[in-house]
Amino acid sequence: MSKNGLSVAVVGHANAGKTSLMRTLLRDTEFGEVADQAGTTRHVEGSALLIDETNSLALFDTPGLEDSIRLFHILSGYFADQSVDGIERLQYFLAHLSEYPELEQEAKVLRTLLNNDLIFYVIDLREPVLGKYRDELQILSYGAKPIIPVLNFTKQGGDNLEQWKTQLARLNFHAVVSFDNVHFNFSDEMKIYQKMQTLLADKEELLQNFINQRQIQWSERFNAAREIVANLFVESACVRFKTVNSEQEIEQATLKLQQVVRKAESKCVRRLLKLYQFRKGDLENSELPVEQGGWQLDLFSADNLQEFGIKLTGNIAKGAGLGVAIDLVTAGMTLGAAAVTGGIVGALWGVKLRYYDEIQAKIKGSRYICLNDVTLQVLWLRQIKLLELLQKRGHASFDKIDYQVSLHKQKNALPKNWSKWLRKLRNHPNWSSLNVNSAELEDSKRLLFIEQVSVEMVNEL
Amino acid sequence: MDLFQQRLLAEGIRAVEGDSPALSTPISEKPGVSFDKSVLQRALQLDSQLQISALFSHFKDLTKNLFTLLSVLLFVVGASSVQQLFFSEQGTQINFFWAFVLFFIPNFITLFLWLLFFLQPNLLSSGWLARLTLFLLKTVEKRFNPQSTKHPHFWTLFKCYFKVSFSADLGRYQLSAVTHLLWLSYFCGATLMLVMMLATHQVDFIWQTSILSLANFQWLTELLAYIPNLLGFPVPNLEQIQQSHLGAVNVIADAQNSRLVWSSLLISSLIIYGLAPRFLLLLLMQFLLKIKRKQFSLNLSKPYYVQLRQLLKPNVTSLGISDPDTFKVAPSNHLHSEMACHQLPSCFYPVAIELSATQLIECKKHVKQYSPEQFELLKHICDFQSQQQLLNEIVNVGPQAIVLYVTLSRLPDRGLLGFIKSLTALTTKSFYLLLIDDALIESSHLSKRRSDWYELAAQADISLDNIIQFKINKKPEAR
Repeated sequence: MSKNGLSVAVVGHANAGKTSLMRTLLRDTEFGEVADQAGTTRHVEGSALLIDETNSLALFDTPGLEDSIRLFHILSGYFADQSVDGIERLQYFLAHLSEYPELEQEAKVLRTLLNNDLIFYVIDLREPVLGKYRDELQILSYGAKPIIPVLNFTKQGGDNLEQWKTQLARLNFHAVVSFDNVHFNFSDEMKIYQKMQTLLADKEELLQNFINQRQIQWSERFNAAREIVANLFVESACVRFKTVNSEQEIEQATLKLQQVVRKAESKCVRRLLKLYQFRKGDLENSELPVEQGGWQLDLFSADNLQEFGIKLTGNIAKGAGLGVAIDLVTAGMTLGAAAVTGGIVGALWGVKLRYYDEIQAKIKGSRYICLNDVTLQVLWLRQIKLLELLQKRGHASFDKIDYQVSLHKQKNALPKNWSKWLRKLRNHPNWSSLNVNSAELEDSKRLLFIEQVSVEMVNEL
Repeated sequence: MDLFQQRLLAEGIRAVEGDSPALSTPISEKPGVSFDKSVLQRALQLDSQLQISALFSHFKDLTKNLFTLLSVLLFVVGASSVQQLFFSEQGTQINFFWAFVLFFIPNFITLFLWLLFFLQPNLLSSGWLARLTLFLLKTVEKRFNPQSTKHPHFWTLFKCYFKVSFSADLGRYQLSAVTHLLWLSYFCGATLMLVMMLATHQVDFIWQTSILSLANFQWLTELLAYIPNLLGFPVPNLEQIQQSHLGAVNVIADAQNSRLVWSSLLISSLIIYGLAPRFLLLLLMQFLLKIKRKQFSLNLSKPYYVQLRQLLKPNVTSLGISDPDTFKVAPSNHLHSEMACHQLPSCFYPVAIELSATQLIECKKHVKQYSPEQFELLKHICDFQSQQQLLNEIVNVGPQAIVLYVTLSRLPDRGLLGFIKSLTALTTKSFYLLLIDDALIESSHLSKRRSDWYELAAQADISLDNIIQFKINKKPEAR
């Protein structure tokens, strides 16, 4: 069907996951209609993945082969006394379709089969190898097109794997690929394209370009997602609110701080969902956390935090209302370093910019409220978990994304540089746009730090 | 608008939009246009409504004016320093080397420091000089441009513009150029004033020392005079150097000539060691700045641009529906989704349809329990041959009831419906549908699936009262 590039027909039994495969490959949660019902897709619908400006990989979703037993019986009945190729049987059937109006859906599959370069035969691995599936494979083999059997639901249907592989091998289908539409694995997707390369030797270069492009897009998206998470971490660890040193004022400032951080997390989650092309509704209790900024777990509740097995560490973690000590030693160093440059005015300016607020607060008896260590840990772990889930989520998945932190202590491992990071971030309140004063979001040191956190995040995932 | 300005404009749009591209623009489907160019085209389109380029031009002028003002200021400082240092009311003598030290040592120190900072990629652009410049620009803007707040994104764009201008390599070269420009202005002022003052005042040049020897000064003066001499400037000779020593007897006839050569040395030194290097460095920085501006590119790996790419250059295009459905599907009746609990007949003919090995075992157990005498007759229908065999035998079976064992985990399809319909059409015996629930289907889908089987039963002329559900309590596994 595709003049430029190549075209693939996605076929299989009803409800095997053809449209789901399309959605996952296209990263499009809106493609077609997916339902737990036979005959959901009743037409042939296509979408193309662009390889370059002129070439594309066209994918065509087809209705399910619901009555393959009958169809195969009809096809076998043609030219009983003659030695005829399967393709001629298919063409003969299509020419006499008016005699079998009830097989209109099957005819659509056959037409698509004949018009495309390659076939993905989607198998629901949860199903045993039944006669109707064997007949489907026989019919597809009549098309004389290269076929890649795509094993779906590999997680739940593992027990049937060998049975299916044996059956496929008997029918000479050896280029089998496991690809779970719900529990997505990018390397499995690559394997599909690599199998295509093997079967379509004349399109090898084109497919290699396509593979490279997909890999670039994948890593580009992952890098961007890591940057978004690292940015939230920096924003939250650097945030601090100045308040008068009274119980009531501190309480108010703490509440305000919580709101601000919750909002920042919601924004981060929204951005990640958008980046990975998922819907807001894919989140567990999505109306609450994303739309209204509320969480099922009160992120700031000390009792809840303890439940997650996060060890309270360091002197920082003594509650949400801790004052930040003024690091005058660093101030002195800054002054000294600047003095060396001969720019005494500049040095004083630098000191003023960095420490003026702290000195003023000390003099006036005010204090700063910042996010405690444990809350930051929960925030970090939630984002890491979310990122991990998004990386492994297929676009056909209906399960809600639940990124609550695990209760298992061993799963709550923090990066080895965690304490070092915190020390650094606490010393840079100007790195957070959540603070009232204008932030230096494009500060080269900040950007460098975000990059460093992003790189280390790879080890966490 | 050159490429740098267009890219700067795109960064401006990014600053206005924040984390994600939010402003809508018509997507031009021009084939062959790269993403980079699409971003620039979008920026140009949005500029007409946001007026960013006009604001950026204003910032450019502001920077230019501020630097010009500072240059003029430094020019005046340079000129006045000459007057202050050399031509006081009382003095008619100039200590040549002291004058040289006063002029050049601060210059050399700052030049050395500049070089030190310049060699570190981010030191200059993230240091106090950048902050001070930004502070000055901001102060000027706030004080002298009260209209600034009228633009809704003024300060966002202010930050964006100067972030690009003063950060990374662009900032390094820009701030270096400013440093050299200011020193150049200073030396221009000083040189000009020196020439004017020497032209209108008569001064004697001397040198003095408490610890250095005559030989040292001779060597120093010769060293200093080497390049001016090469370039044709008159410089003091050995005798004139000796004569200029404080307290040395100066022959009146030679005094005029001595003044001339020392003046020449001072002016040429200012030009060669002060003005010229700063001018050349200024030119070099301007050149590097120009190159860097040409090389300035957008960081397309940023989350903002990754999202923008998805919008502007989606890698998926819809090919639409190529083989539409011409038949209208009758809406599902969703019959009896509640669990049925009818009784099995005492004697029945068992037929298992498309069961897995595990399900078949459970089916056999069930048949053994409820119709043991018919156990041997149990048939598993899973292909064309077995279907045909049953269709041939069904009329002749003994029991008046036929129980079809099917699994709830399997979706009823058209093929199955056709087969069961063929069965029920062949005989008047009572058909029962026994739905095996082996907990393989998610509970949320169970009701819908049960409804699908009820629908199949209705279409196959099986009484809905004859549908029975059989629950197997076992751990989930493959169907």
